[in-house]
Amino acid sequence: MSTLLITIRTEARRMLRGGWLLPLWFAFFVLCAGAAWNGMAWVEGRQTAVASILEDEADTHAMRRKQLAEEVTADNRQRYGGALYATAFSLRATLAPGALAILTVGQAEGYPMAANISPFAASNTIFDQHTAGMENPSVLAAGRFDLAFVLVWLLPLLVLAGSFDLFATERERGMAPWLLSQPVSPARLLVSKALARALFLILPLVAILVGVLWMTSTAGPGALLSVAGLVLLYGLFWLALALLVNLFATTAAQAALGCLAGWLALAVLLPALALGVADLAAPPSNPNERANALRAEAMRARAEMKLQPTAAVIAPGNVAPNIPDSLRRRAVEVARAEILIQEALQPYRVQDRARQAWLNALRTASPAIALQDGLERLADADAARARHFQVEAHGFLLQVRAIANQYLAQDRLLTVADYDRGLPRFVFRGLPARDELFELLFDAAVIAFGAALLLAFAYLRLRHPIHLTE
Amino acid sequence: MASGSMTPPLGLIVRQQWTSLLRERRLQILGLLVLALCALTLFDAGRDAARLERARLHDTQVEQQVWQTQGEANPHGAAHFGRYAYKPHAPLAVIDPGLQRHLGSTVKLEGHLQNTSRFKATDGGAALNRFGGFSPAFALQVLVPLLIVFATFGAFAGERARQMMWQEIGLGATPRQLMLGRATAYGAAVLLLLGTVAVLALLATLPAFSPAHLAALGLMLLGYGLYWLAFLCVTLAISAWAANSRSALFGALGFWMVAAVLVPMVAPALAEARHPTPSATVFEAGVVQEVMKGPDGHSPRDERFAAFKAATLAQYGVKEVDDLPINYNGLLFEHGEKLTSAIYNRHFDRLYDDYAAQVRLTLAASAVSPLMALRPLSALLAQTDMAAHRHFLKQAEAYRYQTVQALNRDIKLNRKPGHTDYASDVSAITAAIRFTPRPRPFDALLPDAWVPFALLLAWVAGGAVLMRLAARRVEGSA
Repeated sequence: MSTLLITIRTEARRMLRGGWLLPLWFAFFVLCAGAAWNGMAWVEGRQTAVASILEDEADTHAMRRKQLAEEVTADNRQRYGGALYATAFSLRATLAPGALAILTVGQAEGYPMAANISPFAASNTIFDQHTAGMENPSVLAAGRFDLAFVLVWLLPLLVLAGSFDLFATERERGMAPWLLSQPVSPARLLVSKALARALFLILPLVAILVGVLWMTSTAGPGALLSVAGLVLLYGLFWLALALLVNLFATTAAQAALGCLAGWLALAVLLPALALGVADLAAPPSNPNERANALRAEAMRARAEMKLQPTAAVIAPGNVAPNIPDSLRRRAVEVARAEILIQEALQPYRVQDRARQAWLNALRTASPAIALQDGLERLADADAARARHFQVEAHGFLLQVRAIANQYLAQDRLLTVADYDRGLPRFVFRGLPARDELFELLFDAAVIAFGAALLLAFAYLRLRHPIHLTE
Repeated sequence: MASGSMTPPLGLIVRQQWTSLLRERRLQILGLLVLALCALTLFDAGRDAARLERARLHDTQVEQQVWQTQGEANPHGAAHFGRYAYKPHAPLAVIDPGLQRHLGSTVKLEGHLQNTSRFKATDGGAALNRFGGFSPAFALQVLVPLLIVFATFGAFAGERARQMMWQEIGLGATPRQLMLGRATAYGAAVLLLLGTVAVLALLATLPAFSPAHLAALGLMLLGYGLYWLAFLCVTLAISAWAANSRSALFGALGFWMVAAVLVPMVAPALAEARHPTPSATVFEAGVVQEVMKGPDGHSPRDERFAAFKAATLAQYGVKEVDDLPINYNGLLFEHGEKLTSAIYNRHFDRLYDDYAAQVRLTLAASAVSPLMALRPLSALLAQTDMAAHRHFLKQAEAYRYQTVQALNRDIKLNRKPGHTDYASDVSAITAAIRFTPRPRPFDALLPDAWVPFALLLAWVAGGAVLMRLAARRVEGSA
């Protein structure tokens, strides 16, 4: 039997006989189950909210169809503008949670989950009603106890707790010289010990996670494998850190301190520092300033409209149009306001894009950030998807506006048949799968690079094994 | 040797511990690092606060100009166009931003609706935002206790500490004196740290200098002092209890992990599960349902408005609304606003009751973690908690109500029947209504402060009892 296998078997026996491995697996299972339960509750709440928004839309359409079918007559038509005019379309665009949403709340609470689409609504206001949540800010400030929290923050602690004394105990007890005098290279010995940790500590944890996800989500095998791959890499990164620390520490207490300092630096301080860098390099745009600028543009569009001659907007060749000309005037004002809004938004968009680019780039600062990013992407709770939803919802608004304008141009009223055929519906297409895969692979590469860097340092240290017997 | 010539053991122990603390280079570096982080974050937060306050003043001015730009406009349209109210920055938020990043600092004020605050600092983030920024409060609440753990885990359990302890026992020190001596020396170090933080905090908040500010800052620092003392007592007790330095380190780190990291995160989640908060959609649907069907759910709006119309006609002794000396639509807007405001207020009261129930449950978690008592106390005194935010929202709501009703009153009094495109100088109508938000007065904070203070004192007392019990163990092991 090779020395590698012998060492792995010995380590495995030590780990099992140490009495801590099973409790550690169990603790991780409890944490995952609790976080998944929390995640399920959050997803259920989000699904209920989305369903309620769509139900509201369906109720409005049903009411208007009923009005057209049963109440509208030639004499009372004026009272039923909401049902008759396409300019009063009341539609919704929603962003449903993904199949793996229990993994993390991610950015879902920082972006709108729906939009109210109405042809005359100013495009900057369509998300207003769905931007602010009612969640207790104390809960948000504390951070969601979701699976991402367990994986990004707690999993490293468990891996380090199980591997902080990879070699330090042997050094502390004076066994290092004896071990290193055996016919096995120090590097091979340490790699074997680390491999044993990977096989009996990290792999079971990943299996537990996949099991919990399989039981509590509707995700397919591909998504589960992606989560497993990312988490496995992340676990190996922390194992590599423990290995490196053990090449320096002479006592178990020193190794524990070193591992904890590493965790604190990589999972807490470095990300906070990275956020500080992003704030300095690319601060977010001022939303109040933007709101004021847009309101000023709305006033400008209104003032311009006052100067517009009525003849320019009246229904062509129709003395008594079905749709009042005031709505045509309004359509012109809305079109003009849209141009002004887009112009006014441009500098803020540039600033926000620059910030997003910085935030994206800074995920390379720590594998913890990269994992969080990867998990958010797998859970469909990432910022890119949320921003893309905003783009698609805006596109839908323009599409609905174009339809309403056709009705205006043809002076055509909505009919029961229109409602029966179905009004325009929003379908979220999402980002191209290729882009998502690239970002995910990038996150995996950041974690793998981090682990490789630590192993490279370890290799350099191991070139002078004399350190290990000091 | 005559006993009178010997240094009293307690003084000797304190002096020896103090000296070894001062000579511990790793601790010096760690302490300086934490202080540097505090100073850096205080400086950064101060700079950020000044920038935000300048932006707020500028935004307020521009908002006023936009409102005035409307000129002659339909007052009801202007009520829908709405106004914006901006929350002033609390000076002590520089030290503890509390819930500020998650609350939003702006409220849109418009007719018929009571909006929640918007533009949260956490909006529009990315994965990195999940890690949260670094604040002085984070350093004081999480890192300083970790520093205390590193400094004290070996106070009894370390090999050197044991050697010293045997010498002290040889000089006649009792276990109680051993414990008290270490607690005094480490307590003095904590006080020194507190003093340094106090100076930094004073410098960072100098522009807000006032007796109330000083009192709030003083109480806040007192709270932090008690919190650190509680940590010190518990970790010293663990050190005395532990068989060796490794167990002491793991025990103390375990306590830190539970008290400073896990419980503060899990407790609010459990509280939310126990007292669920409705989603914004469900909340709004509840309000709309009450508006449409009345508080009892059986009084449709049409019926209520018909009754109101009949009562109005009877009051003025006329048969048609066109015969009224006032504009009926304006009167209806005024009446409707009063009703919807009452409905919103009721629903918001319920929502905030749920929040308060969650806060009470979270405070109960201070039985496991002193941070759960310190955190609400610190945010209360910094005026970055929910109570301070609601205080602002109430003032904004009063302003909204006055503004909207002034516009409705204008329609009621001036719009003539059949005047379809009525317009009025909305800026002039609302010129006398000003929004000047004020923070909660200092004495209003005190009733909410005593429970967290009592809990922190209980932690210190409990820690002292643990130390006393652990001292017996020292006696046994010595």
